[in-house]
Formats: sequence, C-alpha cells, structure tokens
Amino acid sequence: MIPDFNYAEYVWSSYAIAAAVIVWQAIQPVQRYRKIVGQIKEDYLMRSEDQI
Amino acid sequence: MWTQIKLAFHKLGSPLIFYRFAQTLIPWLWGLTLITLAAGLYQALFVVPPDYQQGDSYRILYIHVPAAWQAMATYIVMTILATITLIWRIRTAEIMAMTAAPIGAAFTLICLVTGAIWGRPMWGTYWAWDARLTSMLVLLFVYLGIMGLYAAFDDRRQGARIASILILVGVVNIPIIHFSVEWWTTLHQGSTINLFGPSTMDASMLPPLIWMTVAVKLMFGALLLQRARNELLDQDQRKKWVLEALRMGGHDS
Repeated sequence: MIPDFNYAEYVWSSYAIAAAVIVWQAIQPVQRYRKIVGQIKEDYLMRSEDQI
Repeated sequence: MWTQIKLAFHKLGSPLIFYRFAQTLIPWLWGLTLITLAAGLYQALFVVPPDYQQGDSYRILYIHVPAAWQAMATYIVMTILATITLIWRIRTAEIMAMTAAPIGAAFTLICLVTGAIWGRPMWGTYWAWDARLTSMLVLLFVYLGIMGLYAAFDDRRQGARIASILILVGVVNIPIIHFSVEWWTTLHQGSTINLFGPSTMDASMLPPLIWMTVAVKLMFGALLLQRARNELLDQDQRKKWVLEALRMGGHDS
C-alpha cells in the first residue's frame, strides 16, 4: 500500500533519487571486487602455467 | 588499555589483517544497515504524522538530514585519516582516506538534490545562493577535487599524500557549513536538533530520523570497508598476502 501524500511527487522523487545513488554506491564496490579477484586469479593461473 | 588500542591500531596496518577484518565486518554492517533502514523508512513513510505547515513534504528531511550529517562526518573521518597518513604514513589509513571521498561525495549529492526538491514547494525555488547551500556545494567540489587529484597520479601513494594535504586544507569548510546559518542571514533554517539543549522538532517526529541516521552511519562503514578492501587488493595484486587471503597458496608478507 503506497501512502497518498500531499506534495507526493516531491517526496517520492527525493526517495527515488536517494535510493538510486545508494544502490549505485552499493553495487559499484561489489563489481570492482569481482573484477579484481578475477584479474588476480587469471594472473595466478598464467604464472602457474609458466612455471610448469 | 591504551597499549591494547595502540596494538589493535598497528595490527590493522597489516593488509592481510585489515582484509580479514573487513571481510568479517562487511556482511554484519550491511545486515544491520538493512534492518535500521527498514525501520526508519517504515516510520518515516507510514507512522509519523504530516507536519501542520509543511504537510508531507517534510518527510524528505528523513533522507536529507542524515545524508547532510554523513557528508560532513565523512569529511571529518577523512581529515583524521589524512593526518595519520601524513604523520605516520600508515598505508591502510591512506587508502581509507582516499576511498571515503566518493562515499562522502554521494551523500553530499543526495543532500543537495533532496534539499533542492524540498525547496521547490517550501521556498518556491530549487536553488538559492544561500550560505548553507553554497558551502555544501563547495563540499561536493572539494570531494570531487580530492578524487581527481588522487586519480591524477600514477604513483598512488604519492597521490594519496598530496590529496591528504588538500583534505586538511578543505576541512575549513566544515565549520563554515555548520555555522553558516548563524553567521549569515540565510534562507536555510537553523538547527532543529540539539544534542546539548532542547530540540525544536516534535518528539513524535524524531524516531525515524534516529533510525535513518544510524542506517546511514552503518552503510558508510560497510561501503568504506568494501572500497578500502578493493583498493588494497588492487594495489597489492601480486603480493603474497593477496594469494593467502584469496586462498591461492603463498604466505603472509
């Protein structure tokens, strides 16, 4: 049930923009972590193959 | 007690210990963030009554105010970390100072945008070159400047040291933001919440603000640890502690 506010467009747009910025802030480090760990693993495998 | 604090402080300077500390704490911080955020949002949107003058538009303050407080608190944390960086050259402190900047910038952006949206129905304008608004905009530019300066150096340690000096210079803006409503005649209202005196905000409207403030603080902690952990891994990709941390063999370094 969505509350029926006066000034609703201002209230909801504020919450939506804040949510978008927070979600972006939360997703960005997770993606970067996966990318870095992927790079490290790839590099480790390549170095292991070189040693063999 | 002081010796133990000093020991813990120095232990966190070790990348592997910091990594493990961050890995343990991050899920807890996010879990607590979600619980407190849910409680705050529920109360802000469903429980508290409309304001007798502002109607429902005042509900915007439940994101605007915690974001504004966090934007300034982040800068104070960065100042402490930058001081540690310049005096003791502890690398984890240096990395945390640099990785806090985008988080501070995000909270400043939320504060400015939600404040502008609230200003339209209440003041009749999205923006005014008022002392509080302008000093907050300057804070956003300072955050962006720190991020840019840090990114401009190939040697990240050198970049961090130079950006730390900028952090110490920029801290002058924090008291300006805080006291702007007292030093100048501003459109922005003065403080309604006082820690050491009576608050002018009605007690029934206070609980969601407390929940949201706690949620934002916990979120800041989680984001900071995530970003600092990533930066450490990125900088030390070929070091043995990284392989140890990711359980790919190797020994502590």
